Amino acid sequence: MKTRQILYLIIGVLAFNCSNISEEDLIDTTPLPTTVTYLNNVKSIIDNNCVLCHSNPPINGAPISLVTFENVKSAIENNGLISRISSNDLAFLMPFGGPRLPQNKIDLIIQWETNGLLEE
Amino acid sequence: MKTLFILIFCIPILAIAQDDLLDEIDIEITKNQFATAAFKGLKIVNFESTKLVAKQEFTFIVSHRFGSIKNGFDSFFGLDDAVTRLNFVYGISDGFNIGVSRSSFQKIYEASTKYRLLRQQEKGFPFTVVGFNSVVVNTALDEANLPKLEFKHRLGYTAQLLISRKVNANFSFELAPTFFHDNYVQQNNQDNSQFALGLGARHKLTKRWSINADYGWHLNRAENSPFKNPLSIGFDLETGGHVFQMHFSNAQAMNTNGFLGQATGDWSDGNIYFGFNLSRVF
Repeated sequence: MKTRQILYLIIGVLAFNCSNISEEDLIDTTPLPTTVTYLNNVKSIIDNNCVLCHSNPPINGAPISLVTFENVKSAIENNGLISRISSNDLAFLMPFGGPRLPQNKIDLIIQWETNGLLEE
Repeated sequence: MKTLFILIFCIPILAIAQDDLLDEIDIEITKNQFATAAFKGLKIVNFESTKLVAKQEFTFIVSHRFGSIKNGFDSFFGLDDAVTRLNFVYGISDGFNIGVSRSSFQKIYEASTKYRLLRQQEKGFPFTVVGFNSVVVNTALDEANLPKLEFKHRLGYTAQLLISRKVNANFSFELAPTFFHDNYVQQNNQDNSQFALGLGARHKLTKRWSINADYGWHLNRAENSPFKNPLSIGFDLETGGHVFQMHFSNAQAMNTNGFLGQATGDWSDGNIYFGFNLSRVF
């Protein structure tokens, strides 16, 4: 009897924890800035998502580090950073194994390249 | 003369007694004709099979899915990019199992129950029916990227019915109608509540080897979704306390929500993953 009550409790708690949310519901909806710079916009994305492995020295088999402005700039120019983060193929995607970065963050980095990879 | 009488009287009695004994044996047989071991592993490949862990048995299952074999020697056919799942299953009774697991695919924790509802019998119900439910927690979602993230968005649920039939000593198949709900989906136009039909089969090759395959037919995938239906083919090797399953699959995730909802590989261009499930009973 007691186990049955616990079971109902668990089911009840879970039932109230249903939501229908997708990426666009959870991201900031501020429009892209006209000029994207490394220090204002890009560094925080890289620090939150990449530096865990792409540190200096890189760990977990990562081939390059993404700690400095020069590192990141070179990764975009030479290592196809944008194609790695915007891929839909989990075998190719970075961060490795996903989840894929939200599209607004990817757009920011693409915008940064379009603006000429400015530091500040 | 006297002995003749005794013989004449006793023979029919003996004969009847033998009939009774034979009848009893017959009843015993029909009572116990549950089909055994439609599947030898707890999973076919990705899908759960209708096998359960026995009472008070503790099973540890290590599963790996390596990276894509497409990249060849660059990542040694995917061995550099492995995804691991550690799964513990305990049998509370022969018909009721609980399990917990952690997968490195998006750092997912999972708790599951599996329970048998009906059993296949030779002269009775033609299928084994097992229910499977699980809750998954995706701990890889990051508040830095998704500022409005709450804990409940990390949750996902699975409810699955596994219907198997052992057709003959060598061949078994399974249908797995599945409902799963992810509180958060990456694709904006994907329904959070998703339906799929799993199809699986096993064919015995020798005493120890069998070939297995399963396919997940997703019924309401978003139109431009990059995700694919998972198809997996593999071999089971039975070695005493182990069942060793080796396979190729186009899904790298191992939880039901993962391989049905987020399989990205593609058989047509060789973008598939090698993997294995290894189970050990304690």
